[in-house]
Amino acid sequence: MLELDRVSTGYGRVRALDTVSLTLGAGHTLAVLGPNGAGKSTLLKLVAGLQAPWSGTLKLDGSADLSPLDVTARVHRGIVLCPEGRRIFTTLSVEENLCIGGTALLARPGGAQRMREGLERAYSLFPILAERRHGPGSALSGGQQQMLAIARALMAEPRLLLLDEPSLGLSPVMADEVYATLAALKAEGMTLIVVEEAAGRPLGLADTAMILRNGRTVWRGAAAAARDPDLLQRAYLGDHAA
Amino acid sequence: MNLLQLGVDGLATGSVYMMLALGISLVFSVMRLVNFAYGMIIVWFGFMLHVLWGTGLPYWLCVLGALAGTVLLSIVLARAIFMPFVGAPPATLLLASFGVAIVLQSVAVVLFGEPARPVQTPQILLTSIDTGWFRISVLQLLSLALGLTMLVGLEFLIGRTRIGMEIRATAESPEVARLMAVRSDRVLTFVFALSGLIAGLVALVWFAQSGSVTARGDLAPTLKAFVAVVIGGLGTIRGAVLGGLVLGFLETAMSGLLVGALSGFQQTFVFALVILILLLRPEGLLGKATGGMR
Repeated sequence: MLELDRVSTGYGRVRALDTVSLTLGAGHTLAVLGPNGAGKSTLLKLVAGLQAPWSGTLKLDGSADLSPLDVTARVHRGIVLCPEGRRIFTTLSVEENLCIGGTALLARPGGAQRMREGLERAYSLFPILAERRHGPGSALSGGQQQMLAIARALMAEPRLLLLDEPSLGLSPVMADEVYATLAALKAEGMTLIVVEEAAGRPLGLADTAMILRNGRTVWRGAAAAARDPDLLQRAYLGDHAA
Repeated sequence: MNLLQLGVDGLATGSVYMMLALGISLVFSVMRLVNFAYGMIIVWFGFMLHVLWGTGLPYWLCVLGALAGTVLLSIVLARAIFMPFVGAPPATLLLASFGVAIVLQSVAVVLFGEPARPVQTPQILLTSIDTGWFRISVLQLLSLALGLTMLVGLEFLIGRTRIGMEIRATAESPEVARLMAVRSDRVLTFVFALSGLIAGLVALVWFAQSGSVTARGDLAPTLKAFVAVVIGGLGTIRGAVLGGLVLGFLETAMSGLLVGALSGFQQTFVFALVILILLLRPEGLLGKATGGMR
């Protein structure tokens, strides 16, 4: 579904990603791991269209070149980013957050109907959001805000969902709940890229994994193989640490 | 001084200042633009009304035409000049708006010259009604009605409609709104159109009061709008209402209290009070805006 070929990018003159390649098949889940500042978020921004590549190519569905498409156009193609730190609209109600998430639907035939169905689906997936639907987003707990952020991203009916540190700042119980939801989405056939610093939960979910350090891919392979603590330690800290 | 009369006059003047403040605050809430060209948009309404009146059209058609022209001017300025600066530092936006004000003013000077041009107003607006307790002009009634309608309309538009929701989302976090496929260009264009409409409506009252327009007449409305939003707080409806009313009542009270030699210092006293308010509440009486005029 998604193919990156030797993509580099950065901020100003600082390189954040150096010739990174990846292939992700439809229905598969990729875990992107690595220490802070490795370029994980930049990779997601690149795919979502928030960050332009310096070199290399991004392709969707084998042929379509993503580079000329802006963020909005990519949402319409089914690429939706659930940003780091949840970033829900605190001044909007829970339901309004979801309706903003479904903006892309309004441009399609039967948009209003699909918006209603999306809301129903979000509320059945996260009953707590139904209870709080008219309350402000700011009144939710951290875990509930993460639920809302995921539900809001789902409103756009993504084919490829990009999640930036979905368990960051959550209690272990809440983080498990978030990953149970992601597992359910994967079971429905959705393609996911999950970025995390902590490797445990994403490796349990993903089919494949890649580990970034200083903008370079230091390891790529099956998720099951990445669960080796020695491998993780070397990949995160560099070879001299082993 | 009749207290009731002071209340009525203060409320009517405050209503005008509130409308001025709403137009500026609305644009600020979505793109952090402090628009110093706002007063020139108001002045241009005056010139459009002046020119249209010269064609012999009925008054209400002239007003509609000038309103449409003002909305169009605001949209053109937004799309051609302000929107390319989205995300720029506030100082850059501020300077851009100064540039726009200077250009609009120069064009007005070239086309209409420096002397004042008459802006016709139907006699009915200038008649006064004496209720026995206080006097109120039809123009003051119109200001109050316009202000109230605008308030209710904006509250509904921002709080209850789809575009209002997108405005609030864009105001709180433009980049996340963009991630959700919200077309920020459409939201901003709509907000500028709305701000232009508000400018036109308030200009209608403004020039009916003075009866004439000059190319350099933008300072007074711009200044009143800014003082009002500074008192109440930028970027919220409440802030514009409170700031506009406080400024209206202050001015009215000053003109009633200051007699004799002091009567020429009305503005001095008003600004001294504004400085005092800001010393005590640097972020305005109501504090910081949270987003989207709420």
